[in-house]
Amino acid sequence: MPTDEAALEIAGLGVRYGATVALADVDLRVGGGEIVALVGPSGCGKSSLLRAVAGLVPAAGGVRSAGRALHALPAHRRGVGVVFQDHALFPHLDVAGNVAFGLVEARAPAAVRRGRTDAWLKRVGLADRAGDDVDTLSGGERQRIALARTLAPQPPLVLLDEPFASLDPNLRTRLSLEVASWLRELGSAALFVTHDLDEALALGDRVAVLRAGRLVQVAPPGELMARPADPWTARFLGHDNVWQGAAAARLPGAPTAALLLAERARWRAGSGEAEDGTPATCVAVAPVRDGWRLELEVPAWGARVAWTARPRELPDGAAPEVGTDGRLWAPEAAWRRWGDGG
Amino acid sequence: MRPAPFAHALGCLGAAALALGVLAPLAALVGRTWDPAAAGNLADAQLWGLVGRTTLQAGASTAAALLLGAPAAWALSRRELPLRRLWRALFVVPFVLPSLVAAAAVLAWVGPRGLLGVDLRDSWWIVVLAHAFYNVGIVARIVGGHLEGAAPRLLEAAAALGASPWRRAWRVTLPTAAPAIVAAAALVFLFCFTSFGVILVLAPAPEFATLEVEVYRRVARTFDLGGASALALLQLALVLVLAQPYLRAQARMARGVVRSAPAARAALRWPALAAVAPAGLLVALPLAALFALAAAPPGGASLAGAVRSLLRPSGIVGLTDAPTALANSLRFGVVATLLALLVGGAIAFAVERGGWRWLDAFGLLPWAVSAVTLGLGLLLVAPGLAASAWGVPLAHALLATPLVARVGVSALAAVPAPWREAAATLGASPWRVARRLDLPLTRAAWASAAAFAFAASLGEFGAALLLRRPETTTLPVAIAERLGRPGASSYAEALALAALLAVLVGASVALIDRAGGRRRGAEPF
Repeated sequence: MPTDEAALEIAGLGVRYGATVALADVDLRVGGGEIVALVGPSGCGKSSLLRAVAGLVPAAGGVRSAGRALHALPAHRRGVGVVFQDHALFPHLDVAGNVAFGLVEARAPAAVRRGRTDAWLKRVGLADRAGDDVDTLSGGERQRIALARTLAPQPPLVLLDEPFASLDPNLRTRLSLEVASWLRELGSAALFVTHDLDEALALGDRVAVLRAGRLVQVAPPGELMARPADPWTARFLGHDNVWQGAAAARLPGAPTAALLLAERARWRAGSGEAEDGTPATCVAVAPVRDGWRLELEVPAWGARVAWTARPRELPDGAAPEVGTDGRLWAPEAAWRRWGDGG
Repeated sequence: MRPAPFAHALGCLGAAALALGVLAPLAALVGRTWDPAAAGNLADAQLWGLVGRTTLQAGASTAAALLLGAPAAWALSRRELPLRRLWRALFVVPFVLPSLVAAAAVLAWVGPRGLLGVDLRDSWWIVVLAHAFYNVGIVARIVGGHLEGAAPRLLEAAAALGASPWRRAWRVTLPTAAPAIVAAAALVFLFCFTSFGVILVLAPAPEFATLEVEVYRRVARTFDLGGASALALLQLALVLVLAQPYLRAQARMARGVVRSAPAARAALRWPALAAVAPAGLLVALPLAALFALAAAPPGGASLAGAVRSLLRPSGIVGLTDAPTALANSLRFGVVATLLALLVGGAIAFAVERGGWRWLDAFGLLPWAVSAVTLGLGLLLVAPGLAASAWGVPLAHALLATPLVARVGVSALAAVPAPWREAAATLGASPWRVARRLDLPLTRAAWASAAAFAFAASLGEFGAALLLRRPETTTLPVAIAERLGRPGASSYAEALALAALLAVLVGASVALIDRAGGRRRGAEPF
């Protein structure tokens, strides 16, 4: 569980490769035992951020962990665990040798080393593979050994660079939940990079959004989804109903930009009573996993709204026909507006 | 990751060794050349005839090696070639075959008392033939290896785009092979241009001399150190210029490689065999002649008699007995290999782990400075040391250093950065990363380099001849001593020693290379 002492405190962190700025002026705090997911489009600097914290690239700015200044230390003295995307298992060592690597460097006594290695092999379910060549492991097994190798020295902070990217979706979900439980067991904090938003929302105590080398927002998953910092972030998080500039001008409140959280709005076919709803015509229907995705033309707003209809929310449980008129109710809580003081 | 401090220390060691071992001798050569007494040596009209003849000879030799080697390379890159492993093994032979063994083999084939019954000694024919024999494998391996790596997928793509087999050869195979052909040709030209042992044994008449041979003659016959220094420096300058096409082509080769799985190919057994056979026979026949004549010497001598007289202490001045030469060769080989591993390894770590990029090119210097030049330079800068039992092993260590450094650099560069980063984040300092990751992962390469360095020292002739003392004579020098004497019994002894040296070199490469482990070692070219 998160504690008060910061496992990681980053201040003004910057990374540049030649003339290219990969990371600029990043501040971030990760509490003890906290798991922070780092998301952002390709090339936004996610990996650079991890590599800078681990000491694998030269960086400007401060990096502290549990009150210890790390930024002046070389990688091998930082005590920060890193799980690499491509596993980076050592081919000349067997499975147990890989898991024990960090314990040997920490000069752990042989008994402790063996005990800890065995315990981790058991925990990741590969106790019977201890003496095997790492080349014989499957993708999922390799990933488990990479995790065990990183976690065996019990680092207070673990960095994970797209650790599950190469696994198939089933394995991915299972392993990511296991990793979260191991981290909580150890009380280790984690900063993990992922391009899978669902994974970030499911595992992260907080989610950090990085765009072009700068942190845009750091927030718990619910707050992030409901109150994205700006229209770009809203779109990046997968929100469909985001308008900006002229497209937003006729929306309620005339904002410069707005987001409508579709799941908090409601649409009904038929003219109904003239309550506070707005007339909206269904102009397209497409089946999705949990119902139908409707495109609604809203003449009063000069905009189209995407809205997912679940079968139980529809009068006869069937999809409406294209051209069906109806009304759209969007309470104030469904809106996030920018540029109008909201 | 930042450069490792220990790598800087190793860089200093490597740079110091090169400065003392190569730059100081070169400086001594320059000093000698500028000596007024030696002035005028370079204006000699004979000299430019020498350079011209050497250039023509190297051109003809290169053309012959290419003509036979390029078809062989094409055949080697095809999986359906019958006896593929045999041909491949055959074409590695010249990489490790000592020049004196090569010369003795050609002599056993087309020399006086040769198996073919034609005596081509002291002719341009035997020079070109010997150089083609010695270098055809280099062409086959360099071009063949390149074709094998690059061609199959591209050819499939070209076929799918409608290109016929001939059009594919013209528009895909030849352009992709071009950098490798240029690289091989440039390398072979350099070898033939600086040829020493082969010329000295097969065509000792003055008109066949290369610059390298002329340098040796001035030192050994007329003790004209100033003239020899001037010629050595001229050769070095020419080699540095001639090396440029090779280096450029090699860089282009590295860029052009598209690694892909070998694709299934149409059956072309007989054309492939026909393409590889001439080059294969060119390598196999002289070697066969050497072993055949060593086993059954001509002119009334016998192998048993040759062995008996080789084991006896030689009573003749200028003829070293075989046990001494063998012991010297083995001892010098071990010392030179250890020193080359130390210095070459230090250079490789400094280049790859310390960021000393310039040392990579600087480390090639002993290759550009020829063996005879290096021997001469050592003789000038430290006459006492050069004449001692350390002279020859030191020269051999310097000559083998580029080989070890090259193999080491490419092996260390092949250790993926993420593995080293993972080790660092697990608490391993740069020194510990080198010990726990770099060394175990590159063991096979170091073993390979050691094997080649040992073989190179066993077979090295130029420096060993220049620095010879009766008590420091090596096997190749002992062979040359016997080939230079008339009589069937000296000839039989020379052939027996050459066969022994060939077996020793082959065995050392096979043994040490195997001991390196299951991972394949690297080749120096």
